[in-house]
Amino acid sequence: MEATNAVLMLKSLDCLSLRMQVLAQNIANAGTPRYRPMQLTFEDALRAAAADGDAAVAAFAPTPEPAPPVSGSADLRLDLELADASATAGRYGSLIDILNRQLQLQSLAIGGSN
Amino acid sequence: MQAMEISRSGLDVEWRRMEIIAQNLANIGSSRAADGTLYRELHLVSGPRTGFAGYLKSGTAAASDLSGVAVYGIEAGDAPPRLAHEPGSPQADADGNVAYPAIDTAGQMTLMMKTERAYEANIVALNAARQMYAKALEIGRRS
Repeated sequence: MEATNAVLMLKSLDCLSLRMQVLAQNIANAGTPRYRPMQLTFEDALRAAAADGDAAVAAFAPTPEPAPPVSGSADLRLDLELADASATAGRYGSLIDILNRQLQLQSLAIGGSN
Repeated sequence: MQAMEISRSGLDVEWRRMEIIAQNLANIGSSRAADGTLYRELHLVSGPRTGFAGYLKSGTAAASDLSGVAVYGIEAGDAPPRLAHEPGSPQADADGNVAYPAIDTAGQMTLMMKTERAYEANIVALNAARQMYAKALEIGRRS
């Protein structure tokens, strides 16, 4: 098991948390006229950073950007935002499960018994 | 600003919007306020909060500044009053007309439904963020 995994996982947790903030901001502004929704995309950039090693992953800092229009309209789609929020929370939860299992394996390797 | 605080600011703004709608609908038949002036339809003006951190970073209010939403003010509409011919009313003018506030009932009802939906969406987002926090407390826990 490589050390990159823990750094990478913690960075993805940070990114998912930031994405949740962006989604919350969009949903909170559901009543704002002419509001331009924002989005956070980090998967591809994070994958590229992961190829360059731990330092690149640790220095990786994505910024939210204006979302491209959905089906021709720049308006906020509340249903899609909520679906994204739910997916983000789910991925966050599963990443933590994976992290926990890795920690358990390490503790098993150190102590011999769990 | 954290996700739960952002959703909380959204709940606050939608709640206040709902109060304004209720106030407008309640005053639909108010021909005269206590000070003698006519009630006018109120509108809640809200928008993304521009945070101090955003100004520090870029010198202007950045679009990527995640500081939730805020109420910027409550403004009265300037639609002309609705005149109803009621010669018997003590508030009738020389022509027998009584002025009532011009409240767009259909518009207010539509806005009410949108506000309700937005409020519910904020609660769902708040719950999703709460679920993430609860999960984060499990890091390192042995099952």
